[in-house]
Amino acid sequence: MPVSDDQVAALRLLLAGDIDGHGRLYEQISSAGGREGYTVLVAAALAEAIPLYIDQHSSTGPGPGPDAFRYRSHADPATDSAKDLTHGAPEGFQVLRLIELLEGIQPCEETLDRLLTDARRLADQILANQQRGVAAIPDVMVTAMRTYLSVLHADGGADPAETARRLVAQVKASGVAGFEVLALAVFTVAARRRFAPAWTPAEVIRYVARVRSGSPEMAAQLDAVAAENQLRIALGQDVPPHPDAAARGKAQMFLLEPLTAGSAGGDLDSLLSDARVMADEMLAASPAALSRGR
Amino acid sequence: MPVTDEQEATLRAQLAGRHEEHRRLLAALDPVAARTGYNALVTAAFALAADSRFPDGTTPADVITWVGDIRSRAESIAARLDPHLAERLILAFLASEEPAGIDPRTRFQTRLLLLAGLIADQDPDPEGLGRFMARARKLADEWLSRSG
Repeated sequence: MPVSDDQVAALRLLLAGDIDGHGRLYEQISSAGGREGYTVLVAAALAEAIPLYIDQHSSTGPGPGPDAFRYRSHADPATDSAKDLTHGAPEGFQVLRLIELLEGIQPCEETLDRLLTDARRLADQILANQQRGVAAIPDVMVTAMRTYLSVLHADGGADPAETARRLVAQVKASGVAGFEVLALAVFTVAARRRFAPAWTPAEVIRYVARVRSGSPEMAAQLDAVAAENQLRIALGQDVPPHPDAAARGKAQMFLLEPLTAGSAGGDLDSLLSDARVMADEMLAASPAALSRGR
Repeated sequence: MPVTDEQEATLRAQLAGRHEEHRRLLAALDPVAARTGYNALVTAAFALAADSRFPDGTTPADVITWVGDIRSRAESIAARLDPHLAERLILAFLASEEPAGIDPRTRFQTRLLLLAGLIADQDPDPEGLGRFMARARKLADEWLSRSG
């Protein structure tokens, strides 16, 4: 079932600050069994808002400061006011992130309308895919990934890499788990390109050491063994995954920057195109990945 | 009790790459005495070799690169040598600090692996290795005599 007008209206009321109006409409949606569609809409709005946020902040000189993504004081999901704001709904945390992001964007009416229209289109696409049992990476996700990679390698600004990492955290938290699949595919394709045409375990170890020696942050954040493990798997070696899932994810995230260094323009297009094909194949093999919330 | 001839011969066999002889000698060591003497000898040898390999001005990046190089030499070393632990031990040594929170057995085994890598880099002839072992034994004996 596609997103309904009521669901879009409810999200609009919330973003416009009409908490009571949103609460009433949300109750109606819930009793009519429309919560799932609303959750997907919120996730889609979050996914659409992120490129907007990045566009706005990366084109106007210094990027967002370290506080740009900090939650407003009331935006702690554990507080009563936050519960009031989100009616204790499961997508409440995403709503808070969305509100926070929009505060950074300060959209005019027209931008907000466009955002909601795009979000509705994306949500419809996701819901239709879920219904058909067909999972595919939507365009917006590839755009977000392109933005992420561009910001990662952008010169100047206030720590664009940190901004980009926060962006990924936001996208991943949006419940649109396809981003994670796409990120894995980009990591895999980039690793295979970096180590083509042949590789040895020794090269992987030395590569990770070189990356870690590049900055104190990399040295501290990138678990060498997890990074070597993830690269070996990406390169096709049949080894068991590193036992620490968080270290695996972090390793992929931190290696993405050096692995894609030098990818621009056509290179980046080709990388993303190959990665999208791979991600679509992964999702086709396991469609649940796209609809699974985090 | 000072370092014994057997303890010195055991470490020397390992550093010279005579693995069979090393295993045989290690199995014959008095386990109680080894806890002090052999441990002190390995620690002293590590200190001397690391001091020579990493001069003043060595950066953490240099250490990370070197540990990566050592681990890349053989799969078995890569699997046994935890890179973060290895870096911590070297950096702590360079800062004249005792690394905290590492159990003594792991610390000993890591130092031993690092020592093997440091000596492999120097590639000394038998006489050179003999002189190095004599210095390490002398230093270990000084430590042991001070600790009573």
